[in-house]
Amino acid sequence: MLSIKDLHASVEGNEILKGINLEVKPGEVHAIMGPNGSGKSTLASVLAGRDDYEISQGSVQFDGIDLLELSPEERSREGLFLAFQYPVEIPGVSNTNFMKACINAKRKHHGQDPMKPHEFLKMIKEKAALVDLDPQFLHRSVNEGFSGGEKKRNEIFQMAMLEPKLGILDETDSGLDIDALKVVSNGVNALRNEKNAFVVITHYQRLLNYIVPDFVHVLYKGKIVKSGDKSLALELEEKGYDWIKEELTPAQ
Amino acid sequence: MTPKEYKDQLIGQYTEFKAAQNGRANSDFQKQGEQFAQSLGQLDFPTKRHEEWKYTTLDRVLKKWPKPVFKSAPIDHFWLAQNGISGIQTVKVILANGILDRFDKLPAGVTLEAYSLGNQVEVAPTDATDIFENINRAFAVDSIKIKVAANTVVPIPIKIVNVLDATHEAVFAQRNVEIEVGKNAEVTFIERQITKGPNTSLANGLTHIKVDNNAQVKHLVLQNDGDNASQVNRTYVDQNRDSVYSNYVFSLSGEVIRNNLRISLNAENTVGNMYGLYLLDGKEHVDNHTVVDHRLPNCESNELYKGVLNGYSTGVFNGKIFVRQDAQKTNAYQQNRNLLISDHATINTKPQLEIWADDVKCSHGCTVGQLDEEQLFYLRSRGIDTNSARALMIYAFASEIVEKQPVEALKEYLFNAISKKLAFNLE
Repeated sequence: MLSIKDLHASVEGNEILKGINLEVKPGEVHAIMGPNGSGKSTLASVLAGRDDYEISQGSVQFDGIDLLELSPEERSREGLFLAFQYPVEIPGVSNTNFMKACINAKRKHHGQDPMKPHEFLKMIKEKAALVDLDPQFLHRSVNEGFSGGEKKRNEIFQMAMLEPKLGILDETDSGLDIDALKVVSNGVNALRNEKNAFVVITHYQRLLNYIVPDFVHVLYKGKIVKSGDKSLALELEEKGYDWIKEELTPAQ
Repeated sequence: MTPKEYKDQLIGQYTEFKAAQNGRANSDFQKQGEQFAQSLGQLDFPTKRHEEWKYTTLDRVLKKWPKPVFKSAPIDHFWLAQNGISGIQTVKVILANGILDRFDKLPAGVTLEAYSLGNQVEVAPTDATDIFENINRAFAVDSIKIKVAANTVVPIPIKIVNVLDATHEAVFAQRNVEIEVGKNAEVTFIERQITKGPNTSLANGLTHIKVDNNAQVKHLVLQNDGDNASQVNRTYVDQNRDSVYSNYVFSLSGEVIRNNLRISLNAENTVGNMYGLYLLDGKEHVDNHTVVDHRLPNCESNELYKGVLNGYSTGVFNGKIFVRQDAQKTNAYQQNRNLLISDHATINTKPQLEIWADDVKCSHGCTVGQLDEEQLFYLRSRGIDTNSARALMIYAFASEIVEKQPVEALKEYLFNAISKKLAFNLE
């Protein structure tokens, strides 16, 4: 589904991604871990199409399409979703109107008619319940005055509404208490099926107790330096990243 | 033609104007008018050197030589209905070139007098140092007074529409309206100007509103006239004890618009609200000058003006809050927020606060910004294209003022007008 080959990306002349290779197949959950500044969020931003980055080398295929040729909105309509690390507030735009615009933009892209109001209403209620969001929130402006936990739940709610093929969670767990973490994880788990896939970017192994990954990758200095199964996450939690750094440093 | 030459011609036309008034020259109204005409000699159109007119000039309008109108013009009511506000029930008072044309049956407790109906309309004191007020008083053919009796709750809005006829030539029309709202009365006014014809129009409005004890007045001003239509408005509001007056001005199109709104909180426990939205494109120019004068204790004023400026448009906001020494326990809030969505648009904003009392809560501020890139990316990352995302954000910015205005049935009209102006459609 997602095939990243030798991806290099830089911002203002500093190379941050230095040759990423990653294959994600339908039904899989990949976790990407790594110390601060290793390029985790850059990878998420590059995939979502943020234009602050210059791609100097490499390719990204998404379901057979050259992802890097698409605008952010086209990537979304093709089924890519980024749950933001820091969701922005958009005063004056209600969650309902926002979602209506998103869904109908996607449907239009795929040659479908706008969703019927009653179907939309039914869907929005179901999905809100999935992440335990009070239906009242639907009338409020997007993320305005939301707590950190509510913002992250809103990201998962939006993901549930848009039913992406690939969901990228950029540190969705950061700053969440254990109850909020469970709600968010349950939401993601409910969406998992054999046709979609998730890339979960996180600092903390804790999240992976709830969203159990098939693969764990360690990103360090812009490269994936180690891959394994979920036990790698436990090892990282226990031993930190130093042993990986040492493995990578040639003996003096 | 320079403004000076325009003024000299105007003075020269007064004799002709007077002759056209059919022997009513001996009335108090016209006698006063003559005095104002005489003092025009000492006044000049303001220039950029005039502090209150630093960023606004009518030169481009006066250059078209808008001819002062001496008489009413027949109204094409079919055309007016087509260009009216549909879906909203109002009591219509229609003026043609500022002169009373016709009005609907008035609700109980509401009366209308007009100079043109033979009534002696007493006009509130006029600022003789102001050239526009002088011209208004000198060249006004008519003066209209609407009274709402004490304890009257007027069930539907009263709409005052001034139709200008610029079919054959550029016109300059005076509108003179006096409003008195009695004790405990409640009423909503909608004010609108609409120009027929392709030529330049300039309307010079002078409105006095008296709000008596415990009365509630809502006043909507809809400025969505044609590209060659300009207006200068002076609105004076005097509030008595426990009254609430709220002004909502929507400047959606026009050539040059200058609004002067002055609210005097003359007694205790009064509330004055001022809300404005200006949405500009092309070379449109809108200038809002507001003053709220807190004279006595325990009064409140709220002001929020928002602007979206595109193209080469220019906007001005100047808001003054005076809190006099006696006006303890005043709450006064003022905000002006602007979105510049083109590199060529300009806004000059100046919030001013003058406080002589010591126990008050006051705040003021202004912002000028562009659309937020992070918000745009967020919307796009959910599948919304750039143009729609921009539109959604502008719409959201503007909707705050639309939501504040009290006439539910007018919301759709305003939202449609905004969409049309921004050239986008939202479901």
